[in-house]
Amino acid sequence: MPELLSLLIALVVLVVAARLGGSAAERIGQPPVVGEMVVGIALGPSLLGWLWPAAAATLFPEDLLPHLFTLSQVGLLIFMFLVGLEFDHGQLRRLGHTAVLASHASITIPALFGCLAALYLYPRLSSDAVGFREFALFMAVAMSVTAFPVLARILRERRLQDTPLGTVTIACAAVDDVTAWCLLAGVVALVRVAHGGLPVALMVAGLAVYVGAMLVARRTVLPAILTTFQRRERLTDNLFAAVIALVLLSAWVTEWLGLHLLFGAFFAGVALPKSDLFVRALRERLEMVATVLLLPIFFAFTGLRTEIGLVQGREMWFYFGLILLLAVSGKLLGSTIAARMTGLSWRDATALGILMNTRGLMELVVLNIGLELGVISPALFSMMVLMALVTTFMTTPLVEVVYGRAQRRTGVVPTKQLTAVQPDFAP
Amino acid sequence: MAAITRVLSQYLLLVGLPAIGIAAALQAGTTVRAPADISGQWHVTAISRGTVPGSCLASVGRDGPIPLRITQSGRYLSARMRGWHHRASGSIESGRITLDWPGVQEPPCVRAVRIDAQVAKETDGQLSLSGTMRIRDCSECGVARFVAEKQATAVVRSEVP
Repeated sequence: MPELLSLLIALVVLVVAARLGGSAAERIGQPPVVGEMVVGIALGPSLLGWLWPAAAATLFPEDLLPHLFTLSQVGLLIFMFLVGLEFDHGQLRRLGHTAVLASHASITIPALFGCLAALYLYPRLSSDAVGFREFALFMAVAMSVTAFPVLARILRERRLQDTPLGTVTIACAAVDDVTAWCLLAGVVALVRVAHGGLPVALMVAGLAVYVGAMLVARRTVLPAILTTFQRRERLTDNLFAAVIALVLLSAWVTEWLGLHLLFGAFFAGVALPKSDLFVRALRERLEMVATVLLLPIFFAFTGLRTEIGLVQGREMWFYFGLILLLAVSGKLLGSTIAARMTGLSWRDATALGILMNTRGLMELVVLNIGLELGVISPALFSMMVLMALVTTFMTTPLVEVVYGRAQRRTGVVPTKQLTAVQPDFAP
Repeated sequence: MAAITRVLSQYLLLVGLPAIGIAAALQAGTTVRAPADISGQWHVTAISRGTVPGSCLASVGRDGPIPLRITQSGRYLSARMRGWHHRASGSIESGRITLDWPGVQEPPCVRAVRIDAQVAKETDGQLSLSGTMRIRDCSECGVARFVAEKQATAVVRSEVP
């Protein structure tokens, strides 16, 4: 019982603090996720635990952490399902040359920079418990991630979503997401096989059966969910339960296979046949609980693992500077050059590069998986979290620099008005 | 035809070349070595103790092995010893570890303490440490010698914090 009381108090603090952080971020023109990330870090050992260790220990006692971890995973399941749900297959078919090249370049170039960073950082910030290949591939994926939901929100707030730039950016980010998650699934599988998970043959066979089953279900069983929704013209409790069951089952399978439960949730969202109304109905049911209650727990949990105190001394800050430089330049250069070469103006190409550099919550999800697997060390985790925070923070001001004047000339709708009209599921 | 060639060359330049670079980096990385993984829980057993009565080295490990928890980020270490108030920071270089506790400890350990130790791999693959603890700037305090064994189950890095 005392544990339950502690959990309730911790949840109250997390929900209120996340709201305050999100609102404060919005006031300075930032996406709420920036404020929520900062609040999460502030509640951990980097600030509260450092300034007032007794309060931190009372608020987040050790026996509470497994409960917070479980709740945060449920929040992420919903979040990843919604990300997958937003993925539009038609978008891939409609992709122009610009989007194809820019999206692929915005993965391969940051991935190359990630591997080069790994060559330097592996002997300094890793240990022989992790092989170089796993470490380098993880760094490659972590550098390639783009926060699709945050990016979509920024585009909407700047009224850029229907411009050629907006369309290309959304397509690039969607391709990036799917590719990055597939690559990460490969890295997770490599690590788990190396550390005594399922045998490779069983994992590959299981994965083939899973993918096959999802493809078959997408053509046979799953369309029934959409047609029932269209016939009833609303999301009934039974339909909602069927969707939730699909997500949980898919997550269970991928976790059992030695990938990660989040892949299952993501691919369930991708596989589900969808219409705009159906997506909106599901989003309305799920997003409030996920963004207001469960994701702040994930931010706090990430904050509890982030110890900025571990990044001490000139050397460590130099490593952080290097990571930040490579992360920003990889995304910015890759996307900008590719977009420019395929015909976008320098201004649009630069804006695309800046937008693709947004990492936000997606990066935190990837980093937490890396830390859980032991692929990255606590200090490197803290540096990468800071990098995610900085790259997310810098996006809006930089887009403002590139587009600000032009937007003001054409009369942009104020941010608050847009947010009220077009709510977004992502923090 | 010219358009196809242009598209192809752009793709090769921006996707093909980086992909080759990734493969080259992965190949180059096979020769790169990381420090030994010493993160986790250790049990420190004193072999000999310090000479000044009342100093922490004179009493270290008197009641049996002391748990030492090491958190590792590559060559950078931080550690906590049970009963010692503060956290140590240190490093590992070529299998040799150094850990420094700051000058303000709970009595009787009121002065800065340094651990120097060598990591060794036993025949069964288990890691061990052997080394010394000394009070910094106090040559007359002597040294305490110790050995430590790594506990197999605890892996600090992947623990829920």
